[in-house]
This record gives sequence, C-alpha cells and structure tokens, in this order.
Amino acid sequence: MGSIPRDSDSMDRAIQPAANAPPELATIAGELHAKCAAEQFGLSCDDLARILGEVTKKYLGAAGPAQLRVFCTSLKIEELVLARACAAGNERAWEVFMVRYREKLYDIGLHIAREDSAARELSDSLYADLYGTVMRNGERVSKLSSYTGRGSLEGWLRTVMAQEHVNRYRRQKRMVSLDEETEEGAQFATPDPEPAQAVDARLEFVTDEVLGALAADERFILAAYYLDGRTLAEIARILAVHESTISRKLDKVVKSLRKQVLAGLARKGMSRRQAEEALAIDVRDITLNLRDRLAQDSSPEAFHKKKVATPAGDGSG
Amino acid sequence: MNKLPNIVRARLSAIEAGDHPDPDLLTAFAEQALAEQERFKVLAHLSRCSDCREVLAVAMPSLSTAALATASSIDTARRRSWLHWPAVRWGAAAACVVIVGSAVLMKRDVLMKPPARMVALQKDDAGVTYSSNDASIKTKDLSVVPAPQRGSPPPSVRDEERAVEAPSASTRRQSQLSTPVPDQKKALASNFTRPVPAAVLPGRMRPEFAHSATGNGAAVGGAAGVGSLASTPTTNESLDLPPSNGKIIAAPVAPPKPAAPATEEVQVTAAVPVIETDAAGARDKQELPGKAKAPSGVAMYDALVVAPSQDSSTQTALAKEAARKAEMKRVETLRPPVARWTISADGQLQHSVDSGKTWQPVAVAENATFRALSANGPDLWVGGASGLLYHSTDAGTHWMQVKPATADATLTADIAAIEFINVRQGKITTSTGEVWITIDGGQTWRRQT
Repeated sequence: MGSIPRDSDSMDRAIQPAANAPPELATIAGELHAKCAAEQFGLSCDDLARILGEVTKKYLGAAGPAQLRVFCTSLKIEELVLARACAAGNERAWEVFMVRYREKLYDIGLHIAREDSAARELSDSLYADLYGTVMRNGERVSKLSSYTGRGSLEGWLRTVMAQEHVNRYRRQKRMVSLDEETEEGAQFATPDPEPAQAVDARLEFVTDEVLGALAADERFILAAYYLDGRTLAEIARILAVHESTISRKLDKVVKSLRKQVLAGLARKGMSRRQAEEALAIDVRDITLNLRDRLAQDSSPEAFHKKKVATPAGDGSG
Repeated sequence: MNKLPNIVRARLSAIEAGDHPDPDLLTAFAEQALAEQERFKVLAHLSRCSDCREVLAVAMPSLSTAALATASSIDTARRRSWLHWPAVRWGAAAACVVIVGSAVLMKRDVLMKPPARMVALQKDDAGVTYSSNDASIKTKDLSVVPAPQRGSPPPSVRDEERAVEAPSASTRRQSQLSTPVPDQKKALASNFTRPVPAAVLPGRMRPEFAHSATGNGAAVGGAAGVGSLASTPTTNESLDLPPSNGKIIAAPVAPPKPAAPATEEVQVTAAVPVIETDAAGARDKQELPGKAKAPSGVAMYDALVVAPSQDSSTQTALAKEAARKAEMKRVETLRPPVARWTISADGQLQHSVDSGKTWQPVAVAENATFRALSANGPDLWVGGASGLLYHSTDAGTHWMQVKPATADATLTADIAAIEFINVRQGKITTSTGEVWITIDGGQTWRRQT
C-alpha cells in the first residue's frame, strides 16, 4: 500500500463543526478523549467534541445532559476516533486500520461472496471507498466519515460490504444475456395466464389491519420466514434468541393471525363458512401437480420400445 | 410449520417500508447495542423492508465467528428470561433434590454401619504383638508414616490396618497406644482412669464420642482423621478396653474441642493406608501432649468402629467409597474448564477460565493495546503496534517486555501475527511483511524479510 498524501488542515475539513453543540459535550468529550487513543491520531479534545456533536445531532436531536452522557458512553469511541482519523487522512490511523482490518476485509468479503475472486473484488472496492476515491468540491470523501460508532467498526464494514454485494447482485440480475435467456427458454415462454380473480376487498382490508396490529418482532419473524425463506436458526441469530423461541412464536403467530382474520371477516358481515372460504380458497393456494396429471394422461406408451435381442444360450429357447 | 395463507403473504410483502436505517443502526441492531426504543424502530422497519432484511442476513457473521466474537455481547437480560422460565427453575430445584438425595443414599451404608467390632491388630513388622483375644490394645505409633496415594495401598498393609484407615486426605496419623515400653504403660494407664461411657456401645455412633475424646480421653476418634483411642481401667497396666465389649472406637466427630494435655494421651489420625511400627516414634509421641487436630476433610466417614466379624463388610464399604470418589474425580477430569485467551476489540488481553463464557481483562502494561496473541499453555505472547511485545511464562501473572533485535535491526513495525509452535520456537509477522523467528523462547531472534 502506498503512502497516503495528506495536507495539514485536512483534519479540520474532515471533521465538520457541529452547530449549536450542547456545552455538556465538551465535558463528556474531555473524559472520553482521555480514555481513547485520540491524541496519537492527532485528534484534539475539540475535534472529538465536534464528532460527538455531529453523532448526537444525528441520532438524539435535542437531549438532556444525562441522556447525552449515556448515549456518548455507549458509542464505540475508540473505533469512532480511528475511523474519523482515517477519514481525515491521518497516516498513523491508517497504519492501525490496515493492521486491524485489511485481512478482515477480505475475510468478510469471502464470507459474503463465497468465492475468492468476487471476495477480492468486493473487498478492494470497499477499500477504495474507505480510502476515498470520490471527490466532492475538490476534496476526497471517505466512506469512513459516515461511521458513527453505534456498532463496532468491523460490524459496520460487514454491513457496508453486504449492502454493496446485494446491490451488485441486483444489478447483475437485471442484466441477463440473450444467450442465457435462450438457454433457459425464455423466448418460448408462454405468456402469463389471466390474473386470478380479484381478491375480496374486505379480506385485504382485514388482513392489513391484522398485520398492522402485530408486534414488530412477530411481523419480522413472519416476513423473514415466509417471504425471505430464512431458517429458524438464522432468524434466531438475528434476534439473539433461541431457535425454539422463534419456532414457538411463529407457530403461535400464524394460528393467531388466522383466527383474527376470520374474526375480522365475521365483523365485516361474512359468515364463518364464507370467511374460511375467502381465506382458504384463494386460487393461488391451489397447487396442481401438473407433472403427475400429465403422467396419468399419457400412461400408454407413446413410442414402442425396441425389443432387446436375447443372447443365445440363455436357456430361453 | 403452519401454512401461511397467500393473501397474508401478499399483503405482508406489500407493506410500505419507509426510510431505511443507515449501516450504523443496522450494525448496532445486529450487535444488540441499541436501546429498547431504538431497537423497536429498527425492528419495525425490518419487518416491512425486505432489502434491509437481506442486508442484515448477509452481513451476519458466520456461526463460528459469532460464537467467538460475540460470546460476551449476547444480551444477558435475554438469557435471564430463560432462567426465569418456571420449568427451568423448578427443574433446577428438582435436580438439586435428586443430587442431594442420591448423595445421602450413597453415604447411608457407611453411616449406618454398626460399630460391630474392634480392630484386631496383629503382630506388625516391628514385632509388637497385639492381642485380639483379651481385647487389650498395644501401643503403636503411626504418626511418622506418610500417606501414600489413594487407591494404591502397598501389599504389606493388613486388613485390620486398612479397616482403621479412612480415604480422607489427612496428612498424618498419630496413634499412641499402650505397651511397647513398661514406663509408658504406667503413664498411660494412670491417665485413663475414668470408665468409658456408653460411647462404645455397639450400634450407631454417638456424638458423645466427641466429648469423651476431648474431655477425658475416653474412646474417641477425632474429626478430620484425628482421634483418640482409649480404654477403661484394666486389670493389667496396658490400655485395655472393657472386656464386656472389647472394642476400639474411632468415632466421627465435628471439630473437636481442644483437650487438656493431662487427660488426653492417645490420638488417631485416619487416612493413612500404610502403617509401620516405630517404637522410638512412639516414645517421642508420648512425650507430646495430645491435641485434637482441626478437621480437614470428610471426617464423618473417616472414623470407623470395626469388629473382627465384619471386616469384609467394612472393607466393602470403604472400597465402595473409594470407588465412588475415584469415579467422581474421573468425571471431573473429563470435563475440565477450558482456559481461553483473546484480544478484545479495543486491544486488551482477556482471559476466560470457563471455556469462553465469561472474560476477564488481563493487565499487561498500561495504555498498551495488542493485536496479536499466541498461547501455549501458560506460555503467552502478545504483540501490538510499534513492535510492542510482551511475554509471560506463568499464564499472565507476570509479564516481561521483549524487544526482538538482531545485530543490525530492531523490531519496530506493528506486529500483525504471533505464532509459537511450542514455548521455544515461534515467529512474529509484522504489518510490513517482516518475519522474526526465535528458536529459544525469545532469547535470540532472526529476521527474515
């Protein structure tokens, strides 16, 4: 890695002053400045106060001193200082960053992309963004300047890389080559059949109402399991609970949801039987096994099988 | 799993998501670092936004990485909620009851063993003869014999002697019985003038034994393997037990009271498998005032009252007890707590003695942050920026700074990795690509570029 050209006042430009910073921030910044390694990265107490002012303004808005203190002490202050010093072009900070995260970037890329060349490309791309290849008003803009220390720097790098990976995947998915389409038989695809009959407006309304009344974690579990196809273990890891808890909750939510929709439809004037039919007999729920049906219809042999000549002397004749 | 109606699936995917949270918030959410209110907001968005759910799922570290890196970051409150689960609590209580009950039942056969008979000590290696017919007891000094390893008694140990011993970890055994020297006989007999109370009755051991041991020196086995052998006044001058019962009793006692030297002459310390006779030692011991020793182990089971007709049953009980303890020890060794070392995100060395469940910071040097670690048992190396390198040979208790250098170079670059294949051979890799190698535990270094 080559040297990083920096000018002397880049720090001031990278650390934007926070307007109307509360006075308590100076005290808190002083305390935190003594604890973290800000001095070795060339960050003064005032610089740290400005960074904290920017972060608190973004997430807290107007807050009391106690709330401000709790919030600031919950930040990953050392990693925040490192990231901001890197964004400001401090060479010492970059050295530390390289030691800590250069290899991790590739490991994260490999975990996300699951392929070596893609992982290299992904990590190099992110590294370029972190370094700051984009110029704005004649100044280099580093992605690290958007890190606010709410989570760990490694976790933030992982999230940013995951975002980049998902965006790339979607871009690639939109651009499908004609050869691939031909191979998949897309040009011979039959047009979509007539859309299914319109769903009863009352059913939609009641379903929306019931879904809206669900707790956020219940709705998350439903969406992650049924829409995204995540496993119970994956959902459990995201929510930091045990897998069996997710399984139990999912079962309970689906049953409760069905009951509430039926009850809502009953309130809308449907009889019990009508409500169950409306909920259950959705044409999209009917799954036809066309392969089996076709196999039954074409049970007679379409082509006669050739008789296999029996070898002589096998005892048959 | 129940099938979700398609209408619900369709409406669920059609919900408007709103503004996306930034990567910082998603990271903090994944790391359980958000306050409840903020976490709720992010979760509410995630429940509506498939894009953010996908990013979050892709960004989650692998299971192995997560297990190591975020072991300490799991919300303890959520863990606590499991412990609050009534079934778990009641289950734990029931398990405790079962364990205690099992322990009591296992010990019951030893506790309930009747003090059926006395030890019939036969002629030992030193030629001292003990009579078992007239129930008279001869002096034998056992104090100088070191306790051998449990489970491997020497073949010279007699059955009667093994019956006296107990498996507890007493360090020495003192026994002053009568008769090796006529003078001693007289002195001892004069001290044992009071009759033995009902303490020597066959059957269950009584707490009075303790008092009689410390008070007047009659028929007592002390706690923690220290006891006294006593006898009633006899027709001869030896220390004889009453002919009516003819028993030696070493009774289980709680911590015994300090005894007056004039009234206590005989001490028996249990848990010595090897018994040797030393007449000179016996004389030496007789000169010392008897003193009850502090309990050091499972004293209740150390003292036994043994009858000649029940040697085999007593030995069986002892064998069972020894086998049980050996089994417990073996099970404990099968599940040793695994010590682990790691370096936290802020560069501090941390140590875990419970296989990574909890971590304690280890102070190496002030204001030092580390990025590389190598551990070979108690031999530890930690390295950080600017060639900062510390070494400990005693599992982190003491640290010594090491400055690798050759004749023409010194390690000043940031240490990126430390690899020691044993306590002597290892290498250090720096962020600039230098490799420093030692084959003598860090005494001398060789640099490779």
